Amino acid sequence: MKKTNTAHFAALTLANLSIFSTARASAPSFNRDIRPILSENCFLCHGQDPEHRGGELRLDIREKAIAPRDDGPAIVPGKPEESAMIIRILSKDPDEKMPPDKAHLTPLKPAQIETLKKWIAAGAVYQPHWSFAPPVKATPPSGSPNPVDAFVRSRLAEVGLKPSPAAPIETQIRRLHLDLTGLPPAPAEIDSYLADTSPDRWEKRIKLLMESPHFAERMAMPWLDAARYSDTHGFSIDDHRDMWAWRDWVIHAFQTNQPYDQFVREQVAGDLIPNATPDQIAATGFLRNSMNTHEGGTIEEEYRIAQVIDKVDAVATTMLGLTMKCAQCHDHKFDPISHKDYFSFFAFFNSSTEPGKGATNSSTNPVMEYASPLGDGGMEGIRTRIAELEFLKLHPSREIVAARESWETRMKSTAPSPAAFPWDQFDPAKTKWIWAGNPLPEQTVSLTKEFTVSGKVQEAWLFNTCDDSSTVTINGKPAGEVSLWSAPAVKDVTTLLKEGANLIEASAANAGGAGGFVGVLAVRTEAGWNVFPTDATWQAKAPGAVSPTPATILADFGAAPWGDVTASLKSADAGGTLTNLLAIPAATRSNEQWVAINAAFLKSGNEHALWMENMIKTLDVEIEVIHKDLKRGKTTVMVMDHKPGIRKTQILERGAYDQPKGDEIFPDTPSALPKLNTNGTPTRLELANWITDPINPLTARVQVNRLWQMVFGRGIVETAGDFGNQGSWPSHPELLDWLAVNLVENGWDLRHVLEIILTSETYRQSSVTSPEQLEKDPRNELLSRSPRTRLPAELIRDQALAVSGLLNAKLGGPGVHPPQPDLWSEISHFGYIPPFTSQIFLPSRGESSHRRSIYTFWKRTSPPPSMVLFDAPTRETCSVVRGSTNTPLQALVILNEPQYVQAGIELGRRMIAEGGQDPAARTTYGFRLATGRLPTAEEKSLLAAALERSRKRYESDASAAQLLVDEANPELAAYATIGSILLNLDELINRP
Amino acid sequence: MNPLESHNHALSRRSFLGLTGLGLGAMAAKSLLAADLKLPASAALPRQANPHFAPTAKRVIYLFQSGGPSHIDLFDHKPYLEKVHGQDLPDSIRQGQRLTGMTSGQKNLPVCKSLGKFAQHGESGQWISDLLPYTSKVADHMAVIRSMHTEAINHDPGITFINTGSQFPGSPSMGSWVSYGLGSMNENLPAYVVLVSQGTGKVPDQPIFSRLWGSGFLPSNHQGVQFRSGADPVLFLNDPAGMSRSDRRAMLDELAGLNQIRHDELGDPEILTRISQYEMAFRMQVSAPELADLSDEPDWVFDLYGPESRTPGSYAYNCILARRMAERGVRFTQLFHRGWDQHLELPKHLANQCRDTDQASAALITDLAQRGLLEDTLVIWGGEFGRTVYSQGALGTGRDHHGRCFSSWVAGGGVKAGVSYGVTDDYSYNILENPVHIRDLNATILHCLGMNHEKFTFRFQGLNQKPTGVIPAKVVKGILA
Repeated sequence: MKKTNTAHFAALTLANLSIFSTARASAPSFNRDIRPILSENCFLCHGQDPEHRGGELRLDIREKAIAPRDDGPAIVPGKPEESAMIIRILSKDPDEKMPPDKAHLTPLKPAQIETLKKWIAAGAVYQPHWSFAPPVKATPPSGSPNPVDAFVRSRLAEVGLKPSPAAPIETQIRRLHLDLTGLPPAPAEIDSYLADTSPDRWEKRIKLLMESPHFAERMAMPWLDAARYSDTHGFSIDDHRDMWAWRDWVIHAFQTNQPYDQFVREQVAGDLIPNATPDQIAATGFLRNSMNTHEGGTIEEEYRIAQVIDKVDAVATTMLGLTMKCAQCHDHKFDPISHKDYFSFFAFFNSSTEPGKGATNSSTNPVMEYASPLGDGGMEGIRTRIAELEFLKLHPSREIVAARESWETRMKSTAPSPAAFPWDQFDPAKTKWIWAGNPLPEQTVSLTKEFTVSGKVQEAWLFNTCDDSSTVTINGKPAGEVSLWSAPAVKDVTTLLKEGANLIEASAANAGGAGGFVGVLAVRTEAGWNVFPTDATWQAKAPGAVSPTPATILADFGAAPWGDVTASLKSADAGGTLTNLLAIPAATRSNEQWVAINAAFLKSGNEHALWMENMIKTLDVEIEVIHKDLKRGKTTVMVMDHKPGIRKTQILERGAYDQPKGDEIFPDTPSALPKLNTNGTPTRLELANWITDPINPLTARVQVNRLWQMVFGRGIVETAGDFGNQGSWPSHPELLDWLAVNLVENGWDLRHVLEIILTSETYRQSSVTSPEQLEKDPRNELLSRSPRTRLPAELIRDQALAVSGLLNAKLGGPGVHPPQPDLWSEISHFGYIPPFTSQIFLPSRGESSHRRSIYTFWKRTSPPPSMVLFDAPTRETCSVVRGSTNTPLQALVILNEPQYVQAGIELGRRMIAEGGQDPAARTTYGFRLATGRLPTAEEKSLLAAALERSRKRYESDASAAQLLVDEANPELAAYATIGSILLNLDELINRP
Repeated sequence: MNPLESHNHALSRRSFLGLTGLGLGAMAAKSLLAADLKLPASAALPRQANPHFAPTAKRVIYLFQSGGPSHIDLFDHKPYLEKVHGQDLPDSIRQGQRLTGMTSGQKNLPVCKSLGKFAQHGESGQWISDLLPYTSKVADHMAVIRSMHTEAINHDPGITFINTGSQFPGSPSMGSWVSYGLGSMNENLPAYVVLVSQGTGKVPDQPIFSRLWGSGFLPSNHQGVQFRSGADPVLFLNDPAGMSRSDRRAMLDELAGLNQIRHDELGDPEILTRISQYEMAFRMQVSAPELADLSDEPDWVFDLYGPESRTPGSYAYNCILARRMAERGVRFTQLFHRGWDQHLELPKHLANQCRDTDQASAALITDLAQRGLLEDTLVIWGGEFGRTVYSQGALGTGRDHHGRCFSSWVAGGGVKAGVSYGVTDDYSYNILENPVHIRDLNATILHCLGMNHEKFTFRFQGLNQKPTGVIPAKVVKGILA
């Protein structure tokens, strides 16, 4: 098998056969016209998979297809009417006809049958599958200096279409900026371009943009999808992992224009490169982005295998454009990849120590300490995040803060002033710190006193405190709680007491070995004050004690270490008691004061208190986890290692982890592709070298196709992840090959290939669509005009941040959390103690919520909703093509998502501040900020009318303006409306 | 606009023309929009027309019980267990079956009898435990399948498998398949709506994931739309404070004016689609809150669904919402209710969990029936697997995951009412008769909707992918009317 295929390649190279038929009108081409029909309708049973083969017939190999058979050869070259294949396809007999009913296939269309007949009549010439043959650099058709134009125009001419004229210059420059950096050009950047009179200003601008770090970010975006990059594990609990330094590595690689072959080699086998640098080892994070789990009942081997399968899929799809996954359970039905080929490829990745069970709240071994190559290595980002989390510890969420505010209001209205306690009745000499015996560590004791009140209670007060905390009841009813000895409580307990026998009980707890409870109950009847201080008349009961005994006196009131704890109550300035704390205006409270207030709130029995308690525990864990990075000055990244002999690889029956069968399988590349030359057992390094060897027919094609897809929204091969038999036929095969060969010839320099594309007239043409173009090229496959593809999710948001001036353009660092609804805790394990990370959404504040979207923290089980609604994949598995839907939920995002609302307001503010005094000048300025061009007269008058309408509306209702823009500013509200209109323009959602 | 059109409306014209496995809806729109357009070779013509045959159900309400409800204590009556209570599970029954990492190290596997008391209910005489007193009363509406099975033994692969047809991520959820194939019946509401609740059985219970209602490789507009309790039932539905409905209306008109100018300039039909999507969003801003606002429900409805039904976000509340969605033409409504993963403290937790769900599940059946909706609504109740007959830990404390058999029930459009289907052995460990794999249940759901799961495909990675996956699935004819 291998020999035959190698021979194929040799023959092909020698003869320099073009595998692409260029004469389109004449005889059908096997690759373009015939293979898709056979692949779709016949290969399932008559292809390479022996298990499902029908009638021992193969149609994928010419010599088998034309071989004699009982009912005559399936194909008789030159004689379609004698070919059994055609006879069976045309048959009406249910037992005879092909494909059979049980295949659930649509009958072949007459046109397809005609094509098959023509092909057989012309001799039934087979061709090897185009993408498995080496690319050939054809001479571009004459007429255009740029090869892209030459190939595109020759194709257009075939269907009688002409290229479109150049787009307006502002459109071109906006398109270029968005495509290369993902950000729109600022007006000054457009002006500087327009002012440049040099003939090569376009080329200069391309080079300038490629030097921008934002170009690197833009290039990294699709790679992160392919690499299924994420900040969480993905399965089950889906807690966090640290891979952001790998993401930074990718950005850095594009920033330094690392040649693509190196880029790939390091990600597949950086750890095996001799004398590997930390950067090269970190690159292998690509392979470690697989999902993993630590769900309780996990059978480790099942998930270890799943991780290896995921690596095979990611490498094959991203780098080779192969759907190798299909051969995981059986021979590939359509492509020449056998079940054994699959496991030979699998074997390359099966010698790592990576376990099947993931780590909790952290990255899973093997892990390497690593400093991000961007900026300060991400440490500032960590410090910012810790500060955000510390803030959340004080003010956990809007709901909790609201609950705390209403609790505070209630407390203020009911809480007595501590000054109201009858301090003149307080006798320090009679008041003691008591406990049940000597305090033992972590002990909760019960302290009680029965007493009698003679006469009707007119007034009663309790003062008490405890080291560390206590809950007091009087006659079974709550009489207050204390959680800090230095913050005693004073409570009006008048309604709790009664005439006759009463009981006061304290449940007092200590942490560590301290302990001690002190208090005074003062009761006034007609007869005057009765005072009950804590002393030996109280009964005490330690845990395990059978019956209470008189309380032990630990110390006199006022003794060290406590001192006079009433001082804080009596003085107005202290940060001690709750009442005093609450008297301090919220805006001027210190962090310590908030901590004390929160402690009281937590014990208040408020329904949000439990939530807050969980939040604080969770936040402590989140802080602890990232604090480690700060301490060592580096983050970590999951990497690959290689332990030869760690385990055997065998074929897994149906891909099942527990069904290995047959002999040991050694690492090797698929037999239909060029042979991997090596001495001994090859490793991932040899695999990486094979992938990036110019002889590999796929690697360069797949990558230039993806560049093309990034620029034009669709690849020359539309199925960018499938260059196999079932993949789509290239729209411009010769161009694809020309670009692929060019990439290799130029040292795998991606910028070089991009420049060729971007300097073409095809790239710069107008997107105006004519009825003729819609008729002849409805999907714009031939590029008769510039495609208006919908922008990727990240670009839509980044653009809104940029034009509103909110964008924080900082590079790299840990993932950020721009505010979003907390969808996480609704589905997660939030509330489990000890807490897992990433179970509740903890928003960023201020500038870090306005970073570029590539830095948004990615949780796989609940990815950022505004991105998912714009077709971002979940990053659970490798993905190289994004959808581009157009839905009402997308409209709601740009209309109402708070960050977009804020961007609209800020854009309005910019119009007022920077757009001059005249309303028309201001809206024109805003329009140009948003679209890069000046509005037409018609657009101007529409904007003027909208502004006028909105201004009247908000001038007549200033409170609505206040609500919208958070200040009594009707003018700003009116411009904010214009800002929102601009952000919602179709022009900002689609590529210009 | 008819439902088929509105379905396509959500898909961009350009992108749907790029799809290859188009349903009837897409075909219909193709004939309107693109009859004269030449499809490229890569875009093979549709290979199925959906529905493939007359449906018995127009819509689905899937009451997904996440965590693995204990079938032994609820539906699968095994009197023999009384005799062997406390004894070790015989090897002849276990047959070397793999156990999860939680009990594989346990020395003994003591068999534990059912917690509930079983009795026969209704004219059909279905055996149901007294842990489910309300469900018992609608026994005659239900087909109880006691022979469900799955290969998955842990939650993540288990819930991913039953909801997407694959144990590993990447495949579309059932609801998104149905949205893709049949579209919405109400252009102002999503075709596939998801409601999430947490039970009191185990708090917090196993996580669930957005992939369970994700669109996988289908276009993303088919993903389930989560309705949440609170002021913003659909994400970003509410206009910002300070913007009234008439402000929004005027603003959208102004926006549409500018977009129209651009369309006249460029001639791109996608711009017109964009304008219409904004209009649909505007209408959804009315229809979604109206749907989520239960204030027009009379007291007797809350009485029917139970005391919890007045609490937003509860399972019972979501059951009322599900009925409202059925009334308004939502194609596929799916509740995800957590809390069934009772490894420990099973007696207490299971009782809590039943109290959360029993009355409301039964009320939904009763309510749909009295409104004439049950006859064309398919209701499904079930989880990702069952629980072991043997105890996890000490006898009677808890049960581990069990995929070799478990129980689910279906009711409504096209289902044979009052049927018991499938038989397990005396230990409720292995299936003796009529096994129903979870993919068979999924094939059956599609069948009720008029779709042949063999012919219902979408091209991805070179394959015509089916909602039921590669391994053949069968429609469970025995539970169909």
